[in-house]
Amino acid sequence: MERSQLLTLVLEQIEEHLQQTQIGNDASQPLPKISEDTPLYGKDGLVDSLGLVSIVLSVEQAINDELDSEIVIADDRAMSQKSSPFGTPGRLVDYTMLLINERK
Amino acid sequence: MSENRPLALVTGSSRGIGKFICEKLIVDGYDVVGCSRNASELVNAHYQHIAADVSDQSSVLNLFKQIRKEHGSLSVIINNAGIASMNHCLLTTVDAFDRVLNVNLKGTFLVSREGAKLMRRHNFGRIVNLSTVAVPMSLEGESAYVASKSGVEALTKVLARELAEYGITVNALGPSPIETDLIKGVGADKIAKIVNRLALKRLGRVEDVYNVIEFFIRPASDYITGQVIYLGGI
Repeated sequence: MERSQLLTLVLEQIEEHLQQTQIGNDASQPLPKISEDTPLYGKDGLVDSLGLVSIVLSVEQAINDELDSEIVIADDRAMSQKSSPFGTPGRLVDYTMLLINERK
Repeated sequence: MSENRPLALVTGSSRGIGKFICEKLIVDGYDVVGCSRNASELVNAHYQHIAADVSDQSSVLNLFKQIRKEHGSLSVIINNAGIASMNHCLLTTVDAFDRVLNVNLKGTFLVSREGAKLMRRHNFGRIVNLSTVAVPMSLEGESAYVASKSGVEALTKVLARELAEYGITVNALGPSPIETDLIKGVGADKIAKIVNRLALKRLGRVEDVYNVIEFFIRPASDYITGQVIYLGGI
């Protein structure tokens, strides 16, 4: 899987999550434009901790379905990174790419 | 196996209570995946056995990879796999303590975590964990076992809260002593002593265990979560 494919997958999962939550349901509030540098979690983040759990699990499942793999994104290493891999979609993609490449 | 039947996963399914639970679930309309380290004696068109060690993360991940690939969804988990170590705490080795904690507590955690990931796809799930009356009895001679099952009860209550938003209920039941391999090594006088502390003074039956499981996993039991039911009246 290429980085660009993974980024598309991650952005899709985030948008789907936002659509399913209040932001998306409120017609007067359009979905925010999301790029790989948009704050995802933490200061000014798009989602709270439960939202992050949903997104990470959805990404994990989509990848495992696609690659027939058993990747666990929220592993001990992810939790102990100096710079959180969940800060932005781009960082989530980079960390997940690392896991995908390690299994090769 | 049929696409129309909901799927249940039973750990520790090769014999005893686990095997009985599988048979009853099949009668009640489920397809059942059973797992244990050993092969299963159960042969049925609605039963699939997958060898797995619930205390080993890679083994559990592989189990769920197979379930995801072959079935795509999961409705029920019965965390039944368990081992006991009957000994005075002063004679309990750290290896025995680790083994009991790993299978009973870590195994329940790993299977619940991976199962819930699959269940949340359909916003429905029922997880039932096996505890024991030895927990509220603080039974002497079973420090590792009671500690592990106390952990299972605490885990049940926390998971119930964390998984509620995905339509998943998590409950536990604590059987009284039941004629299985697990209590074969326990003396008759000790079993009699435990039974005498119950309101209903008899050994439990596997049917008693399934009765509570059947109650917890009903679709109508969607407002019951984080509960522990003990058999025998403790």
